[in-house]
Amino acid sequence: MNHTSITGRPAIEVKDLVTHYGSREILHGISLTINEGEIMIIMGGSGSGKSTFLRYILGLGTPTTGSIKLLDKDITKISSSEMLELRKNMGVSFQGGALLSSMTVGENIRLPLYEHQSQLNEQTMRIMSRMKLEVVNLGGFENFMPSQLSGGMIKRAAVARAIVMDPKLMFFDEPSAGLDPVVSAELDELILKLRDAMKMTIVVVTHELDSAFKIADRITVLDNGHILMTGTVEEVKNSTNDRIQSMLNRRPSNEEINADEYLQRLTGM
Amino acid sequence: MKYNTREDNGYTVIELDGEVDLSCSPEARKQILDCLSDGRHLLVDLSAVVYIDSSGVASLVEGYQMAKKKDLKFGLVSVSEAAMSVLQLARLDKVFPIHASVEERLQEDD
Repeated sequence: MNHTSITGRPAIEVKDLVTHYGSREILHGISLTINEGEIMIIMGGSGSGKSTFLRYILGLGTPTTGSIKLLDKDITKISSSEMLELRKNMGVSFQGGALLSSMTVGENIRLPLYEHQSQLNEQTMRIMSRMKLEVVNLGGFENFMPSQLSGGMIKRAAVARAIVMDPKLMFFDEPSAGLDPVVSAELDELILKLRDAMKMTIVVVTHELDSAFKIADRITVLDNGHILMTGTVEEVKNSTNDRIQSMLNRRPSNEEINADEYLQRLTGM
Repeated sequence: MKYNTREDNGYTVIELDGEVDLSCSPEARKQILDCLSDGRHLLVDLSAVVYIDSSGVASLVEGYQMAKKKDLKFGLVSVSEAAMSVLQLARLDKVFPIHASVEERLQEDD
């Protein structure tokens, strides 16, 4: 899928990323470039490494080796103050919403503005946060507490908070999880609109095939900490790779078992 | 962002130019609200806006609200494609009076 706002300039460049959890290697040398104005879907089953990958490109972990450049800044090398500055250009929609329960929806959404843009007039901040509520179809819910919202509404409010500063980079972790099909489709539409209107570069981690095929400019398929392929929707659909076809057809994989490794895992010896 | 202000048939026209983002929207807001505080009818020309973020749009919203309260005329003219897509995101294209040109607005006033 081509559209006009992809510039071809990299917004995110990951090179040879290796990460560990304890002594166990999780990502085995991932390299991936995501261009400005592009929607990149990161797909893969449980344990594929997709959530780990997201965590590292958000700067929430220190890789064993490799580099991660966001907007030309290598986040494995920059100072914490530079990282803080960079975070102003990053929005994250977490799986569970992560709203603060003691604050109203409006206060939750304005939180990044209070934190990073205190030079703005209070009324400007209020209008900005209300506009974002309108964008996610929650107009008028400003004074509700998170506990008064449904799961889908919390998720949309969290998206409103993530986009309140119009970030250049936007990350969605399993946006459709726990949503009904209508709300989920609305969220897909919203992601497309954010790319087109705000020229955002968007990374979506998901295992929802329908959603991925609808919104992706490109898809990266992860499997056991490796990239199986990166390509357009058509390229992924037409892939002859068995693992990818299993995923597309929702077949359980019949992975061969290495008896020695399996025993070692069970016995710890 | 640059801006230019001119008078045209009883309106002050503020032309915004370039990127209207967090770094300069307080200035755009000041221009808009100062003009309305002085009791002048206002048109904001967005033809040269290559990018406008929410803080910029918020300034336009605040301006329109103030114009209504003070019974002053207000409108957006020659809205660039980039600005229009941002207005559409929050459905504000259906809220603001939007005109293809200053001339078109003047004709409507007649």
